[in-house]
Amino acid sequence: MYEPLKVELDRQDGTIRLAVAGELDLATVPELEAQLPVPAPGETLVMDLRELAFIDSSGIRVLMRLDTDSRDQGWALVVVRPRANVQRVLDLVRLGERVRLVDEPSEV
Amino acid sequence: MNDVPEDEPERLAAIRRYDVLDTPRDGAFDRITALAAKHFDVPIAIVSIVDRDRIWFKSHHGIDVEEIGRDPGLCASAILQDGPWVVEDAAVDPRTLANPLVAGELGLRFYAGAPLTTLDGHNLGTLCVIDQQPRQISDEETRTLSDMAAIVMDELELRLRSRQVIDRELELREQAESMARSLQASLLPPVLPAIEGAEVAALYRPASKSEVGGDFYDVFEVGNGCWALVIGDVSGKGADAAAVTALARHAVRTAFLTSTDPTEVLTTLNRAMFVGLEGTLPRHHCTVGVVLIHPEEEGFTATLAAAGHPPPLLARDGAVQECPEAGGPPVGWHGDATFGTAKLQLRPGDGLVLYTDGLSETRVDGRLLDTVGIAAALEGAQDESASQLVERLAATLKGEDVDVRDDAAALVMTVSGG
Repeated sequence: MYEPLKVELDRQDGTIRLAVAGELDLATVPELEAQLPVPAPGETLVMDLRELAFIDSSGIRVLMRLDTDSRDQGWALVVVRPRANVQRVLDLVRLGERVRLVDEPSEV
Repeated sequence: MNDVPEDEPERLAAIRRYDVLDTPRDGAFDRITALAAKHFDVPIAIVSIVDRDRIWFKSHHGIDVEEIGRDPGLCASAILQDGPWVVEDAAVDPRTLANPLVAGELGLRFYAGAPLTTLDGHNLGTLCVIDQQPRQISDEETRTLSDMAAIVMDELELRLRSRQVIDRELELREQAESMARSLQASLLPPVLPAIEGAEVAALYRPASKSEVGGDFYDVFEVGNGCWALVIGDVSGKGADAAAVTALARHAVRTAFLTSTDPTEVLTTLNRAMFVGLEGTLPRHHCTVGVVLIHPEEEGFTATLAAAGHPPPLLARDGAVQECPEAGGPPVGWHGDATFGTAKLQLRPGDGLVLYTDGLSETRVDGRLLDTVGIAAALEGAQDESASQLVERLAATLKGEDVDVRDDAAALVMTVSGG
């Protein structure tokens, strides 16, 4: 019933794309955190959530923390919009007021 | 000859400590008695424990007896010794002539017993070998018997140690759970107040018994007949989260002293989550739902505000719908947060259900309960009291296939007179 979490990382000229697929919840957040890159100042981290099937409050916390870190450390955070059910949770916390949301990674 | 050891009270206490009396048969001890009987070529071998007024057999090889009286001459005398106690022909030995095992049906003639001596020097009982023929035993054989008795004792020690470790762990867990319970209790109102024209009830289900959860709720009067209903969820668990939870709960109460505008209250709370906290507490986010209840001629006006918190559900005429979203980001995230409100008329018979995502994120049968599942639990409720609605919610959290990973809380208000 649970979809496992899948994380894919690629780096290109100062842009780090992290594609997160599956379910991001209390159980899988540690897995994601273990694979989170530490961008250098001036770099951009693109969290590609297009294939994310589910996110809970602990997953949201990761995004909020990334936002805080990006501002503290001088790198940029961009989120590629997820499916409607996940986007609804991002909307609930007003992520878009704080973090740049795009439809495609190519827009970055 | 005195039959009772000088250390008898301490010795009996030691027997209680090892907690071996009247325990079931046990392969480890049975193997040792079988081995002893074979090695000494005797029909009977016993691991005995000399209790206050009986001798109980932890293991008995070759004899179908569980316990005998504490008559002098054999085991009862063996435990008075520092070393093995040997009777080569009991029928002619003045020490054993009168013992029922010698005089009676068994016709015991040969007895050699080595005491089971604890580390602190108390003899609990013996490992003994018995024959119905008189026999002789060499010094080397008595040493072997003592070695075997030492193996019995090692086994008893090992069990005592593991039991002590388990007991200690249970004790520590109980301490942690009791501490978590008291801390949790301090974060929740002990009794929900009575609101004229309404009833309130709450549900709280921590995910862990030994850790304080981050969910909280509160209900209090804010003046002019108005009331505040508050529900919140602080990220994380344990002592740090509890400190932030206490801060959030009290900041909301304090903010309502100077303003009855829920958006101002959330703004003040958000500021409180940053000011002066640098370096004292790890950063925690907190989602909060606030409802200001204003009494009307009939029913109430509810002003909803939220910081990243799911909107309440409205149970009306047997159907359930989500209240309008009045949003803003969770508090404790950033200082630029602004919050909006939504208004709602509550009519007699209506039920307003505030909940934390621990409830909607509960998995039942592996599937997310979700808002839809909570709504389904409340569907069909007409003119039910707040506590009846809470019971409906509690029912969804019961059962074997329910996986509550996070703390779950709900605060329900129903309007009387439907």
